[in-house]
Amino acid sequence: MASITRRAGVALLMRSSSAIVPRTTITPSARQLTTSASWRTAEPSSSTSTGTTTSTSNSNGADHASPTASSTHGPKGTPDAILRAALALVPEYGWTTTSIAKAAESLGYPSIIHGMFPNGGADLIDFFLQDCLNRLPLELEGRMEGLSTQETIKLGTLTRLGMIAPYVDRWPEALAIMGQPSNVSMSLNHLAKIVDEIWYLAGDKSADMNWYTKRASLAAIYTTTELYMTTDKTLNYEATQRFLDRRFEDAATLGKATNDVLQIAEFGAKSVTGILRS
Amino acid sequence: MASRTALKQLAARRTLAAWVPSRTAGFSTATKALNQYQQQPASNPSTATTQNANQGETHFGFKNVPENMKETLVKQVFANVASNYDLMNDAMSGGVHRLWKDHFIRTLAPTPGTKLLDVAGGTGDIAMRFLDYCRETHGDSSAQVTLLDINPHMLEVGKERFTQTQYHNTSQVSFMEGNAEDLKDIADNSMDAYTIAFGIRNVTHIDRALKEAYRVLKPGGRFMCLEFSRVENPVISKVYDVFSFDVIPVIGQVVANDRDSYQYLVESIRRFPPQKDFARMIKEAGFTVMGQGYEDLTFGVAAIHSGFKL
Repeated sequence: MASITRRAGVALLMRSSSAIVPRTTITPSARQLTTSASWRTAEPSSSTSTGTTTSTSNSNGADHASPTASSTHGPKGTPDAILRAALALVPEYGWTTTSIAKAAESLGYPSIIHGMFPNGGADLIDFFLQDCLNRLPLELEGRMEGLSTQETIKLGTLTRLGMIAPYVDRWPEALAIMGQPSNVSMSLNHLAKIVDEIWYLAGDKSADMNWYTKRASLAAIYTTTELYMTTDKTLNYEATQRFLDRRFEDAATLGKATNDVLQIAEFGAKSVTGILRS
Repeated sequence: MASRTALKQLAARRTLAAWVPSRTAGFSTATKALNQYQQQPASNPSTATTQNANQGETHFGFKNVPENMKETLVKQVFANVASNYDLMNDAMSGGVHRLWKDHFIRTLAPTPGTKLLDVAGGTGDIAMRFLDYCRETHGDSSAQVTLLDINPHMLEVGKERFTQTQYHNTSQVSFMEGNAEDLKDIADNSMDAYTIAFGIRNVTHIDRALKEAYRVLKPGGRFMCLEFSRVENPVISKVYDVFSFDVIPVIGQVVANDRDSYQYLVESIRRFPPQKDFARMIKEAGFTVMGQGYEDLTFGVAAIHSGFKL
C-alpha cells in the first residue's frame, strides 16, 4: 500500500512541475456546463445554428491564419479559441484584457474584439478554471484504483493543483481577481465544482450530511494549499505536498475532536433533560 | 394658419396650444409640403413616375409619411437643431447624456490603433471621447475616427468643435458626408468598430443601415449603438412621458425657438423598437450578440446595443 502511494506520489510530482500531459487519448466528451457568463451564452446570428459553447480542446481556433466568415469561426469556436490563445500569454501579460487583446490579434482579429469579454481577466480565469475541471477526470482516469479514500483525495487534489503550475507566478494575481466582490460568486462556484469533482472521482457515494461536510472540509484544505503553492519554490513542489499531508492530518484530528465535543454535548443535554423531568 | 394646423396635427398629447406663437420655421415648411403632398390625388402622373409601384409608408414621429419623404424631413429637423444641438442635449437630459456617452466609450474600450467609423456622428461627441480615451488610457495617438453624417450642418458644427482640440488637422479625425443606409465610399471589411449614437432611429430603413454596418466591419469588428429605448418600469415610464411630451418641446421652444423639431424627436423615440426587438434586428443582420445584446441606461431611457461580426 505504501509503495503504491509512493509510486502515485512520485508520478504525480513529476507531472505537477511541468506542463500537464493528458494520460489518455480519448476525445473528451463535451461538458455542457452552463453558467451565466455572457460569453458562454453568446447567441450567434440567426444565419448560423445556436449551441452551448464548450471549452473542449478540439476548438477550431488553431486552424486558420486569418479569419473568414465561414462556419468554423462562429461563436462556438471563436470566444474559446481567443481565450485559449490568451492563456499562453498570461505569464507575460497576466490575467488581463491585454492578454485577451493580444491573443485576438495573434489569431487575426482586431483587438477591439476583447469587448466580448467585458470582465476581462475574470473571464479568462473563468475559462481556465472550467478547462481544468474538464481535464481533471481525464487525467485521473485509471489512476484511482486500489487506493484508500484519503489517497485518492490526495491524488485528485494534487493533480488539480498541478494544473496551476504553468501559471504559478501569476496565480496570486488570479486569486486577487477571484476575491473581488463581483467575481466571488464565480470563484466560489468553481471551488464547489472542484471539490465535488474530486470526491466524485474518489468514489464518494454518501447521501446524507456527510456529502456536505466532506466537500466543505476539502474546500478548506484545497484553498489553503493552493495559496501555499504560490509561495513554494521547492523542486517538484515537495513542500506543497507535505503541506497537504499536514492539512489532512489536521482534518482528521479536527474530525475526531468534533466528534468528542459533540458526544460530550449530547451527554450534557441528556443529563439536563433528565434532571428537568425528575 | 398653415403652421398652426401643422402644429396641432403633430402634437399627440395635450399642448399649450394658446401659448404657441406662429412662426415659419423650416420644419413647418416641410410639414406644409407634406400636407400638400398628401392632398394630391393618388393618380397624379408626375408623382407616380418618381415612386416605386409599392411605395411604402414609414413613421415620422407619430405621423405616417411616405418613405422617400422621411429622409428630407429628418434632414430639415437636424438642419434646424444643429446650431443648438449640444446645448439642447444638456437642457433635455440635465447633462446625463454626457454620462451615457462616457459609459458608451468605456464599454467599447478601444485599444491602440483602432479605426472607428462614427455614423451620424454629427457634432462629434463620440468621436472626441473615443480619441480622448485612446490618448488618456493608452497614450496612443494612432487611433483614427471617420465622422460620418448625412447632414452637412451637423458636420460643420462637428468640424468647428474639433478645431478647438489637439486632433485638428491630424490624421486622427476625418469628416465624411454620407448616408448610413448606403456607405458607398467605405470599403468592405475596413473598420475595427462602428458606432452610431442617437442616430439610428432617424434612419428610414434600419435593416439597411445594419447590413451596411456589417459590411464595412472587419471580421471580429464591433458594432455599438447608443439609442433612446423603452422604459419598462411603469412609475418611471409615467414620469418620463410627462417630461418628454410636456417639458421637452417647451424647452425646445424657449432655448432653440423650435418646438416642432423637438416634438418630432420625442415622438421618434416612442416609434423606435424596444430593446429586445432591436437586438433581434441586429442578429438578423448577421451580428453575433453576447448575452441579451443590450444594456439599459437610466432605467431604459437609453440603451447600448452591441454585436460582433463573426
